[in-house]
Amino acid sequence: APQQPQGSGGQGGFFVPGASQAPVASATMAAGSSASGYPAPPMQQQQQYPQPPQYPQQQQYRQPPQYPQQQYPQQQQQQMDGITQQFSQMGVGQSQQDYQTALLGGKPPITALDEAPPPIRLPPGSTCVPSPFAQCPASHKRSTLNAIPRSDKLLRKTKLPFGLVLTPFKSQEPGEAPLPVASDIVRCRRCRTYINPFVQFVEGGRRWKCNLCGLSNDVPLSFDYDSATQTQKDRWSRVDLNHSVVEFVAPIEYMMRPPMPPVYVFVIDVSYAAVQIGAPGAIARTVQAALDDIPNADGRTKVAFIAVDTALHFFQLRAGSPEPQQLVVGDLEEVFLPSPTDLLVNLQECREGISNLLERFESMFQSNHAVGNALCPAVQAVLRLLGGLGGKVVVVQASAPTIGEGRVEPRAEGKDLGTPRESELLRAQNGWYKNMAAECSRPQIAFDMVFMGQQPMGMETVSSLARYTGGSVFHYPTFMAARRPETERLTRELRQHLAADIGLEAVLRIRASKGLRMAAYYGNFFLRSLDLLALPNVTPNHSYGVDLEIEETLTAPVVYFQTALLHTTAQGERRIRVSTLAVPTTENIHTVFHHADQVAIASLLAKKAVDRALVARLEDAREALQHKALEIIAAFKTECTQASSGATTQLQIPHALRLLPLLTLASLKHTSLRAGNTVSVGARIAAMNLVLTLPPEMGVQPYSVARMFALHDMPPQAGYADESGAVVLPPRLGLSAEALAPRGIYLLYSGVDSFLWFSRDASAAQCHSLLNEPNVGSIPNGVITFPNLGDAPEFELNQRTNAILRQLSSQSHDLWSPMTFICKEDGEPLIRLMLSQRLVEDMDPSAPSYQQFLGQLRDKINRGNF
Amino acid sequence: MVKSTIIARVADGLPLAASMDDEQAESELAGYKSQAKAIFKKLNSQSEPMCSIESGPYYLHYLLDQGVCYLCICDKSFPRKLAFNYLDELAKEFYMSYGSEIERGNLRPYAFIKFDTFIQKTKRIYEDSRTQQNLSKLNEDLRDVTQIMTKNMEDLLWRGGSLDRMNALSDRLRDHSEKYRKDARRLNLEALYRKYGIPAAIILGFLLILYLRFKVF
Repeated sequence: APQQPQGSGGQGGFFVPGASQAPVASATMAAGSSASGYPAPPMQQQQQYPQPPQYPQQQQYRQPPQYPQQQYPQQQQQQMDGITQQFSQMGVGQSQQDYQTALLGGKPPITALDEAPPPIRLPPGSTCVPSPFAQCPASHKRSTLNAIPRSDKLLRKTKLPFGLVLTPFKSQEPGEAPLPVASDIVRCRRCRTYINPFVQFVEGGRRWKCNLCGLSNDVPLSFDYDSATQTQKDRWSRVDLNHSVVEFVAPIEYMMRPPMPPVYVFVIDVSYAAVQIGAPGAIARTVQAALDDIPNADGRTKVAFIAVDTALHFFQLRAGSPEPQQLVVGDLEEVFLPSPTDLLVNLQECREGISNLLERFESMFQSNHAVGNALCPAVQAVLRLLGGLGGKVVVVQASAPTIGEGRVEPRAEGKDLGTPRESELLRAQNGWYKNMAAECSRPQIAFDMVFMGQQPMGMETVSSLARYTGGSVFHYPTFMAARRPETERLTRELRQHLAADIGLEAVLRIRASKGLRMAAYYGNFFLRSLDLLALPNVTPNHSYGVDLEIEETLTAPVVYFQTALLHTTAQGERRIRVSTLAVPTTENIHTVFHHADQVAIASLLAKKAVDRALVARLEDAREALQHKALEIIAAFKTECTQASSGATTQLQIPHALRLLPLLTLASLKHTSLRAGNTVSVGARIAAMNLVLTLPPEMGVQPYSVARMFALHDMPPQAGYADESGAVVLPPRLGLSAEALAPRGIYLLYSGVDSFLWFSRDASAAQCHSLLNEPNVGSIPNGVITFPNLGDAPEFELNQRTNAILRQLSSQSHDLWSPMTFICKEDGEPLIRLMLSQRLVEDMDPSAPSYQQFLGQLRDKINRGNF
Repeated sequence: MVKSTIIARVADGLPLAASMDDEQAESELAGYKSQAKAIFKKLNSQSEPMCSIESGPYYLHYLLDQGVCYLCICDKSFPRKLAFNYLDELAKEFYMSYGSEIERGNLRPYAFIKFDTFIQKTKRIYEDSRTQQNLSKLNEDLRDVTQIMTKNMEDLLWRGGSLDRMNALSDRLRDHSEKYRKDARRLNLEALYRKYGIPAAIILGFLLILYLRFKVF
């Protein structure tokens, strides 16, 4: 065998089975990168690599502070791959055992969900400046494979899904510095890539080589010389060469028109069905409470209100006049606006009138007995109202639209649930809403749908409005204004949603290195051209999935993905947010498996499955999901283990993918895809929309795989803040009824809802400390908002649980404010059923238990036919 | 009435604020707005401080004040006096609010877009030229609008350009006439061939035969 290079240089610290020195090197690398999960900045590897060769034309520009510029020849890496292949074929690879896990008989290693994704190990010298911020954080954009196979053939061999999951408008975590802002934009002449930390400077720094297409571009003078102050500048301190996520202030060329103000239009159902559950009043009070939170930095924010029953009620508000005037339009054939002005008004100027209107809103429609809903004419009116401006439209529906072209027939779904006919129920009844959404996307109008109550509302049809305009879907099926936990949840969630710092009139484009192609996109958007996603509104917690294909064999050691989101901030600034992700390539199949990101894979597969369920059948989607897991494990067995054919008693799985069976099972049992007749169409549509839009950090856990904690037996530090201010969470438990011990109290949190489980003989003292109830028997069954009992030491458990809930909520950006279901061991069967559906490791009528699922997978793989 | 308003910096034509117009105005005025941008590019500190430019069914009125250009697009029927009063009012308020920041080097486009709120408010006051308030403004001789230059958009945009255009036109004419002469000559020749070609060939052939005969016999 050829001489092995020192350290792990050739592979940049890749995991390579059988390479004797690799584990040592990767251990040192991991130490540097463990905190964030990203490779350590090259600075730390300085001693390993010789000093950079000096440029001959040195006078041109200064060297970067430490410039670990060294070309790693291509052959060296191929050599390495060759060696490792030999080793693995000989079967002497010692470390091969380290990255395989045998799954059978044990519990799923659920704590692995809290681990960072597998590190992206770039070869040294990939970045032009040694900056710790050069690599894109996984929360902004993550690849399902953190080592990308060089050829399509190899990718097909692994069966792994290849794609990206990105959250382009992610807000910064509390405590994180705001995103760096740059003002001058430098882009590649040919492929229009924005300059980023991974470009290379050539010809003595006079030109820069684009890392996506390889074209050499001239370096602008402004890199080294500031003409305004007539001084030399240090190009290596430029923001866009140091940070992978940068916001550029857009110059005039990026504007079609002046930046638009934030605009909020509320279309509220006030028909009999809505009044019955008290929806108009609850919404009016929520909006009233949110008026101060709505982004309005410039005082330009505009609002309008339209109440909808069998007619359209507009409200005219005048600056300085506190009296709102109601204008009713009954002619719904040709929708017109009853007044050319004063329907869409400035929030600040008409604040008094708006407050008065919202105060009276409930009493105005309290005795409304009109049955029917004119949503379609209302949408047409909104299009007229916002045609030139754009904006966000919040549609509150409690009944099915009955008037106009887009009317929806309420369908009896009861007997079709759980049968193949169920897929029919999930398909839109007409294309009106989709067409309307497409029409609204050009003038930058986005729809958020709030569905309330039990009435059939044609959610499968109407929700297209949100799906194709980048909006969100909210669903409150059990809402009654009289129930306090319900109203509190609605108010908190909608308030949070309205207060969010949204991006307006946005477009998103993703670029990738040569040889890679975007095959499909998943999420809420309208595809304007082949690769341009139109997002009239972009919400911080919306993510998008992208399927990637390898079109031609990749030759570069690293490939790049660049996302550019052009948007207008709520403060009236036009900006471009650019993020660049670099991922190394490999020819070694072991490396591909070892660097697969199981959370990203689960997230992308769930998005694809939902997309498939909406166009094809539910069974197809479930089948495809299951088949994919099977394929991946079988591929691993044939390609990477010694028992490549033949039966084995244990299921061998790469360490990096050890949660794949559990995540697949959780997706199959999730509301969005669950088999059986326990999920209504509305709940399924709402869940599907969440799966399509949630980023992996929230969609996989807690939304798909809930978190469960024992409250009766917490370690002493749990529930209190640690030095950094974050609340320490108790150890998480497996999602199985086995974990529920007698005398225990448990908390299960899935984001949209949370459960408190009390065993029959839970300690009375703890019941008192948690809920101020003398014993388990006196705790009422049903739904509560988890109470805050104050600082008294006797309620210690309550304070700690509140702290834990706050921490969990902030981890999901306060998107949800779940109600708490009290579930007693011998209590309400319906709530027990709901809880048991969240315990994904257990068997239930629709799906096998985790152990059975593993057994099925193993048997099918052993038989070799699937 | 006032259709649209744009405020820009004279030094580099950078737009500072603008009114958000409704869809109808947006599509109708798109062309005139790009004309406005062309005007901003031509303006400098030596330009006339006030001017009305005629373009299609509209007038573009502009006012230069303290290095800032205030421009509005109005219907032709809208009194000029009112239009300049309107611009004057905007200028006063704008300078008071943002006067100190206008010359800053790194301003982003539409940096003072929040001024839109004031523009909208003022625009509504001037909406109808027949209101009592506006009539009195018309009658008061606040500003002598007769002194203000009126220009035509065509002239403005083509001035300087027209000579070049003339030059190019005459060049093209000369090229073309050259080509025509060549073509005519070729055509004549072809016609000649067509007319006498066949008889000439027959006669030649006949003569050849005669000649050969004499030679042989």
